[in-house]
Formats: sequence, structure tokens, C-alpha cells
Amino acid sequence: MKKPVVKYLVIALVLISALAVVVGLKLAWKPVIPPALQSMGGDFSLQSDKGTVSLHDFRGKVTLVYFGYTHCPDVCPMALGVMGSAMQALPEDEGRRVAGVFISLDPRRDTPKVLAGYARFFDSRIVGLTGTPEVLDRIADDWRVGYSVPDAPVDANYAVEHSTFIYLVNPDGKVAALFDEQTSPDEIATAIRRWLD
Amino acid sequence: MKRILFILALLVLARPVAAAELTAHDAWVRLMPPVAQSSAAYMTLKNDSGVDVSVIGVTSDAASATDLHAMRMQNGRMIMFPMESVIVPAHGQFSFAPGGVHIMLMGLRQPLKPGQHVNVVLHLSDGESMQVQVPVRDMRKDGHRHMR
Repeated sequence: MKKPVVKYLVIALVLISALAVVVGLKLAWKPVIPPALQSMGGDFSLQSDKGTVSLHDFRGKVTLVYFGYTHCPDVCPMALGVMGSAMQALPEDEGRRVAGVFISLDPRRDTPKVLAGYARFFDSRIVGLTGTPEVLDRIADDWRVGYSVPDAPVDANYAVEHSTFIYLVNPDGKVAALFDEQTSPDEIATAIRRWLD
Repeated sequence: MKRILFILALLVLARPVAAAELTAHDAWVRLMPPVAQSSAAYMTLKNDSGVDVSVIGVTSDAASATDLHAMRMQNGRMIMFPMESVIVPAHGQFSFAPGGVHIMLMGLRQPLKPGQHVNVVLHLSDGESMQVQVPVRDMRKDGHRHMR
């Protein structure tokens, strides 16, 4: 007696879900960069343990960028953990078209070698980069990063103040979205997929 | 040197039994990349007594320096600052949590390993000390598990 009703309900649900997926794909088709982000970011060249790496090396990929330092015990590992989890949530083919960049604002303590080991821990697609204070200042200006490194000895256990955005850079090298260490990896993964179509 | 002696003295004096009414729950230390020299410990302290208890200091043999740290956003920057003490209110609780007040371990003596326990000693305003064995947790795996 009840069975046909259940059957029709299931068919209706399947149709509605299919429609929702189609509409969802349409909506997701052309992502837009919010106006507030349009003047943010820009190309840079910094040092990795394997030589110079520039943002334009990642053209065609979606890149997550984070500024921090390795002595940061709390927010930075949270943010890098979120970045790694978001990248690992992607299917394999899309996973080949994402990259991560961790830029240390503390080049006195964070050598490219240390940074390589640090970044790799969270995901093998994340590179650790740094540069001279002058270069970092210019990039920080372009990317609206506020930071300050105290004038303390290298072994003084000092903290670096810094902004805590995770930037999503689209395949054209433009900042397209901002997240932080509180964002769910799923939300970031969804945003990455939108830009990979 | 004085500081080291002081820490050693505290470690020796620290008794394993804490103020009976204060208990630590859900304690964990963040597993960091092997090259990292800092980490943070988190836990919730519950106070079942009728009087406030303050944590006035923290030490650990796993790090060369241990501090209570808090964070706040200021002009778009995350600023960390040391705290003299935190209060665990009577019949209440206080949580050291990611993105909030945390126990900062600076100058790790050895890279942390998953499953390892780190000895953390909380020094309390009533003169007592409280030892907590804090397990090291790999948050990367937890991150994956939460993913749908």
C-alpha cells in the first residue's frame, strides 16, 4: 500500500537533486573576484631551498598563499593545516592543479631549508619561501599584509605580529578570495574547484 | 642560568597531586613539523571548588621556555602577548584553545612525536602545582577525518 508512494517520493527526490546539481554548476560556472580584492596581490619572486620561485610559476593552478613564520605555535600551523586539508580534499586530477605557498616574514630565523621542511609537513604541494626584508616589505604592501618583526636576537623566542589571511589566487595569478585559519577546509576546497573549471 | 635553576627547582618541587578540585581535560599538544622549534598545548581546566584558582605559571621539561600566551586581532594583525595568569573560576572552567589563550612551548628540546606525552606543570595561586601528561596530537589526520 505504502510502496508506490515511497517510489514516487524517491523519484521526485532524485529529479530535484539532479536539478539542484545542474543549477549549482551553472551558478558556479563563472566565479567573480570581489571588488575589494581587485587591487590586492601581485607577482613576486622569493627564495626556496631549490632556488627562486615566483608566483607566476603557478599560472594555470589555483594557489593558496599564507604569510607567517615557523616559530608561530598556534595560528600558522592551524592555517597551514587548513590549507593542506583543503588541497587533500580535492579529487586527484584537480589536486594536480593546486599549489600552496607559505611565505615567512621572519627570514632571520627561517632559512629556505627550514621552510622546505616546515611546509612539506602540511602538504607536499606547499612550498616555503622567504626573501630579504626589503622584498618582503614590498610584497606585504601589495598584498595588504600588516606585520612587524621585533629587533631581537635570533635566539630570543620573539613573536612576529602578522595578518592571518589565507589568499586564494586564481589560475591567472589574481587574488580571488580570502579565508583564514577558522575557515573549514571544505569551504576552501569548494572555492578552489570553482576556479579550476 | 638562574632561570634554568629556577625551572629545575620548580620541576623538582612540583608534586604530581594537584589541588584536589582542579582537573585537566582534553589536553593535547600540537604535533609540529620536525624543523619547528615551538608548539602549543591546550586543555580545559575545571574547578570544582568554591574559590577561584589562578594559574600563575607553567613549566615543561620539553621546552626551554614555557609561557601563557593570548592572542588578539589589532589593526588586522594577530598579536600574541604573554599573560601573567589566568583564572579558573569557582565551579567553573577555563579553556586553553587554538586561536585563544594557549600554553606556548618555545625552544623544543626535541621534535615532538605523535603519541608521545609531554609533561606540563601548572603552578597555581594556592601554592600547589599540577602535573599534566599531555599527548601529542597530529592535527593533519584529524583534519582529514572531519572532511566529508
